[in-house]
Amino acid sequence: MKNKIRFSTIKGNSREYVLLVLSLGFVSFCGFVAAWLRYTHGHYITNMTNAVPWGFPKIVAIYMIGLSAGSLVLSSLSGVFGITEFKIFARSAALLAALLLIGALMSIILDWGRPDRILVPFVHINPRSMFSLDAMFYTAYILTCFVYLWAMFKEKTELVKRLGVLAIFIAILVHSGTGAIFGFVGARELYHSPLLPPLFIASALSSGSAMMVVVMYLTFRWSRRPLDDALLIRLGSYMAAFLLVAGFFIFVENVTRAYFPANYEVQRFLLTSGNKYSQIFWVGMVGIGVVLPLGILFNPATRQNVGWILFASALVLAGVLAERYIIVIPAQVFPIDLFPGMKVSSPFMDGVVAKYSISVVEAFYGLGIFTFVFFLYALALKFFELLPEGAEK
Amino acid sequence: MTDMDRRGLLKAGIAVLAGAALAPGVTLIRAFADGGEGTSSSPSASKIRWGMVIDANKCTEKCQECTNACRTENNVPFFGDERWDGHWIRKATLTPEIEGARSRSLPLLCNHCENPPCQHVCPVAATFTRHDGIVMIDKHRCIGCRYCMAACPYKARTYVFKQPDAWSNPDVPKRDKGVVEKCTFCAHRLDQGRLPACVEACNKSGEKAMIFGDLNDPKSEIYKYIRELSPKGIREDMGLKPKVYYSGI
Amino acid sequence: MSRDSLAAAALVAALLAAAAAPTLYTAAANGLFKKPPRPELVLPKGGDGKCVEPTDYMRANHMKLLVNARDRIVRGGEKLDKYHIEGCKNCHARRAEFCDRCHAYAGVKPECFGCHYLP
Repeated sequence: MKNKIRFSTIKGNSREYVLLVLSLGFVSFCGFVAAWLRYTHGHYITNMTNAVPWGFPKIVAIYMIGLSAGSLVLSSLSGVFGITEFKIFARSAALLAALLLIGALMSIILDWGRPDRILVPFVHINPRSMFSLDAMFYTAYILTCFVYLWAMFKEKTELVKRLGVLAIFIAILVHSGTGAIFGFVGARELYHSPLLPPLFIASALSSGSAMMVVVMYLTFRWSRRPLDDALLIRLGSYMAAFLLVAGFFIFVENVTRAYFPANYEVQRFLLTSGNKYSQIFWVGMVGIGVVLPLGILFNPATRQNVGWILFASALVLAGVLAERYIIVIPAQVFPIDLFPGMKVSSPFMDGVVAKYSISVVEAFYGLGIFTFVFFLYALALKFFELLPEGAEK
Repeated sequence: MTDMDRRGLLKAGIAVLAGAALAPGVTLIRAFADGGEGTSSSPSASKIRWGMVIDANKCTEKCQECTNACRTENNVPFFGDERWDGHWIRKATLTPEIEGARSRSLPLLCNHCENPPCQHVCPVAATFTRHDGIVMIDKHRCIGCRYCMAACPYKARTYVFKQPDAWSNPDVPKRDKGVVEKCTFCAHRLDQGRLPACVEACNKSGEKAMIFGDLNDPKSEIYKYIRELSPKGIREDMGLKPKVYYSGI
Repeated sequence: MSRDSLAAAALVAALLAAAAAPTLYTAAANGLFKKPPRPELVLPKGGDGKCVEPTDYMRANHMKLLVNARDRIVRGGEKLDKYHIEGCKNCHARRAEFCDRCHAYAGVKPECFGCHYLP
């Protein structure tokens, strides 16, 4: 470390800061009210049905796990590979990683039918269930995050390096495991794919770097600390690489599935039917999530411009949310082919495309928990030495 | 600590010791193959394998006796809204995609697979296979994560979206909201030596489209039926080894 | 002590107070230091006053017996026996006069009756 970076807390007594914290707190409060309503009434107040048992909370959860894994990997890069520019956000990224995973777990657990049985998964383990294994990974992940943070605060460079390696490993494990929750489900064609774990990793890294660009820009801007544009540009170039990989996986997965005649119908439903899901697929996931940001990040006229990189990051953040939607929902909506070659009808939605749209309760719930993470982050900036005093050398 | 606990603990202890001493890999694979905790692969497991054959040629479209009987017997929640209604057994109509082909009607229910994907994915091992092959949910343990509903290819599982408030049959528990439920082959009736409610209703209606019995008993009607007519399970290509067979589809 | 750490301490104190408020309120509303009268239980008529185990044992351990029976019968696949919750109503005709009164006295809320029918 040639020139040591000094970290300090923000003062946090400006009116804007208080307003920001209060408004974040208010939105997350609304989210908890929604969760409480859901718990006391039951799931019928959401738009989930027996055909679509997983709704928006699940989407938000895997989105947040992705952001968390991505930011933890970016944070560890500074220590492990000696990318010193990244050191200025290593602390805040690791803290965000921990908070986001806690938020994701809250989103999952508060969506259980019986969140009061929260201790049951720790007592009864099913080694064959990805959920059960992931519960262990998540616990290990949060612990690693906090130990890693502690080591960074104490400036234990050697330990930080080792923990960074561990953190990268666990982040990949956690997010592959999250992808495997869906990938291992053989009953539904759109879930069953060995490419989901690597796709989850690629999207985690791209959305994680996008989030770091936006969050770092806003944090440094609002706390009036200098931020080197080169850092954002570098993050942007990383993001472009991750986007290419994610786009490649999306391409391979869909082409492989579409090649086999048994999947013609489901792929037609997802890609060319022109319904809500194919629109979200093409416009949201592919257009906004991959193609547009890639265009911005590879165009020599825009890739060096912080404003454009911020815009591309916002696109990626929205696009990856659309991607999570496409991963979770269409597989459940599309009817399972129980009797190949026959049309099935029943009072239980057999043989028809089920309906799902995000209900108000779910929207508040997801948004609230997501905001809660940033509420905690904003508070943490005041109480912990997370931000460097000068980002310039 | 009771006797049962002690026996279980002892068994687990022996398993761990044996595994450590002999071949850790083998035990690990065994543990995974057994689906972890909750399966009854113990030597005391009975040889009974309950199964069912449904003859689609005898089942008529109008008849709803089995579904009604199940609803009444097992307090299956009914709210009059297809999004939330519970279904342990449902009648489906199949129409072949050929011009003018005859459509068939048959009941769909939990197939009590030998390789139940719902049990494999359950994070708390609330779903387990009983000694007689019935796949059951321990609703005392279910956390309501609904992973099993995503994993079941037969859509046999429903979730309790709303608190049902009355018992149609007080002798059988209903469910609180927030857990997943499904057909139990009327395990409580089997334990008393009676037939499942749907089978009884089907026999009473005169259609006699359902045959229920022990798949391992060479003297049983179902055993002979399967031998002679080799009915098929639904989507046997998935390798789940369902124990509900259909003939005439 | 800096102003910030004071603020942090105040925040923690406020959170703790907010978390404890419902409990304190309920306790106060129910008479915090008053010992409630022992519940009057209606025992089964015509019985010999014995449950499946001696009364004292049942009073202290019926929940353990029930949970044990639950696991044996549901997961172990054993047949219903006298320890199962469905057997209680054979003698205790009215839950409100027996189970509920004592549970209210002890301040416990068992979840059994959401699913198991006891009249």
